[in-house]
Amino acid sequence: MKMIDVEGIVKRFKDIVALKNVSFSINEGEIFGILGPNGAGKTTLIRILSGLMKPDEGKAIIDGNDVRKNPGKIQEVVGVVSEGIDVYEYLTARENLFFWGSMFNISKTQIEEKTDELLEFFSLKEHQNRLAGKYSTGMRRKLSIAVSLIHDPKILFFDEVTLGLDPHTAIKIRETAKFLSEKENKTVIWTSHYLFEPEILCDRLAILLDGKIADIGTPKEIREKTRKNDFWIIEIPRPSNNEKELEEIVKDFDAIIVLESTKYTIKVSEKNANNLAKELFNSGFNIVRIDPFLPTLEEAFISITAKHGE
Amino acid sequence: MGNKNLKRSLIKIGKIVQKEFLSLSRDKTSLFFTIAVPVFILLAFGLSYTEGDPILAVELDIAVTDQDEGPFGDLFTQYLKDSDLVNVKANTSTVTEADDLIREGSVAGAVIIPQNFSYSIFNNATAFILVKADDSKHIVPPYLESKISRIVADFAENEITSGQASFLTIREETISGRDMPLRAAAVPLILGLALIFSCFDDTAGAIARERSKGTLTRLFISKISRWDLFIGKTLSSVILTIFRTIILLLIVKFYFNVKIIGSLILIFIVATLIAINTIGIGLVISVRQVSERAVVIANFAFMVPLIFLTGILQPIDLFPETTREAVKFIPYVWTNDALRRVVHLGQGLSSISFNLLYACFTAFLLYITAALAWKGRID
Repeated sequence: MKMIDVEGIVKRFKDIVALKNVSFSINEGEIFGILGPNGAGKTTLIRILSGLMKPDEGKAIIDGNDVRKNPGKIQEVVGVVSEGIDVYEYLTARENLFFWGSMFNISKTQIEEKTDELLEFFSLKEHQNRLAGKYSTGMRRKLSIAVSLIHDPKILFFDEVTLGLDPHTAIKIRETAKFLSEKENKTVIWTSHYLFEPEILCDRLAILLDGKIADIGTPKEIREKTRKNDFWIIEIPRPSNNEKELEEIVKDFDAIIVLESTKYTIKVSEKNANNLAKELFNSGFNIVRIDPFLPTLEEAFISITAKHGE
Repeated sequence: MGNKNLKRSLIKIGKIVQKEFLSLSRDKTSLFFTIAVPVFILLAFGLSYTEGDPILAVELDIAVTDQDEGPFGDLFTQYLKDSDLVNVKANTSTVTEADDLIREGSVAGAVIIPQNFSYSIFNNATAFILVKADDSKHIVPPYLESKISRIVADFAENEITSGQASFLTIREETISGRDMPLRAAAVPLILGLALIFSCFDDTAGAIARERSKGTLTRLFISKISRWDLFIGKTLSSVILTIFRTIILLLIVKFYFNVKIIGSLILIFIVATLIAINTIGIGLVISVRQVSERAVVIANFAFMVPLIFLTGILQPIDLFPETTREAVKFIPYVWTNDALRRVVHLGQGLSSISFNLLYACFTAFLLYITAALAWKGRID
């Protein structure tokens, strides 16, 4: 089921066209990444999709509601977490959740239940009566996510949410996004300049460049499109009893072997890949993966943006 | 070595100056305020002062009550009418009528020519002119007295023989009927200004802070309308204003020893209207994405001229005529006037009803302007 359906969106700011005929759709429960260099139009797109701004042309349907005709309905189904959107620092975590809950016409009982659930989920229960201003950046960001979830939205925008956070909190937030998508079937839109995040997190992503979609697909599809080498990767679990034999076989096929903690990763040219795999198999090695050697998402992103003169 | 260090320092200083000007030229709001604030303040200051001696330059509106039945009463009335120092706005037959005109603010004072004025002059007895002034308007009574003194001196010199003139005096009376030191007279105006200052930060400052923290964006992502926001901000500021007013009134009463003659409820109503108007201005200013810094400058640009234009340093009666008429568009002129009447003259709702209606009208205009300006501009 399509949760977001965007068709031919155009947005202008005086003589600057921020979005130029942007079209895509996002399915329910999907984690969708929107990537792009600064000024590509990501923020404008998110503002339109969250009902904060109307497009000049085109259609944006969010959970069946047109952002132009029914912006009030959009607010009921979206939650936005952004590095630039904070909570009230002179309210406690509990008070913040109560305040923001009451902005959504939710009953007091429901707010209470949801508040307890969210404080528990984000491990803030112990600190619920402390002023948000006294929280660490990580705790505050977690509270900000909790506030965005108070009205149980179907769609969550995570806009640069891990910026400036310690690795533990960043991991917790990524896990939260995954949990919301997998367990609660919520649609998550993720933007980040840390490109390993969408690579490990997103089901699909769009690369926005100069107000246009330069590429769209799964992270793997995007990486494949920008593949410039003809290497393949073969993986064998480690340790192996006949490591010496493995080294000799690999050497014969002019391949490189990398010893990792749990596996041997062999990088081999495309023309030798098939024969090397056969040889390894015949020698009794347990091959767990044979794949083309792909660039990382970061490399793919650089390649795509370079093509467009970024 | 010394020259080298000096040269390096000069380069750094030059770069800082260059950076400051470059930043300013690109920050349009700050650039506007940097130029507009001094110009606005200069105009506000300049326009509220008269050119030359204010005793000569400003014609104060007065009422004349001639109770004398002889020729000198008529003659002195004519002197008043011909004078450039005062403007005889009304001739009243009784002192009570003149008092009423002063109390309702139609005139700054009244000149009462008593019975037997001519008789006393003819008989070389002491004759006097009674000058009544509104002492709840600070500085006005001494100005009026000075003006009348000049007219009396002129009258005595031209119309009365030297022997008679020494018996012509001026008596003064004020309408509040109590001691009114300068500070006490200015208290309602200071009270008004203190409320305006504090209320301005309740909206413009608060909204700028919400904007910079991103909570304003979050508010608009939630299901809140413009009017919910406006009313919420207004109501909280009004409650704060009532609390502030209680504190200020306690200071006025127990520290400044100024007795409040009129109704406290009316003072709270006026304070509420001051708050609502100021919040309205704050909402209009907040439409633009102003930074907290710009709000501080706007606050300054807005408040300092008000100190002059609402008559705190110099009563509006002493403004040049054009300025006096122009400032009547400022709602605070009316709210401060209402505070003065209630605090010092004990006037009731009927006397200040126009003041309240005008303040309601300007508040309505400001909120409509804010609502229209905020439409479609949420962040």
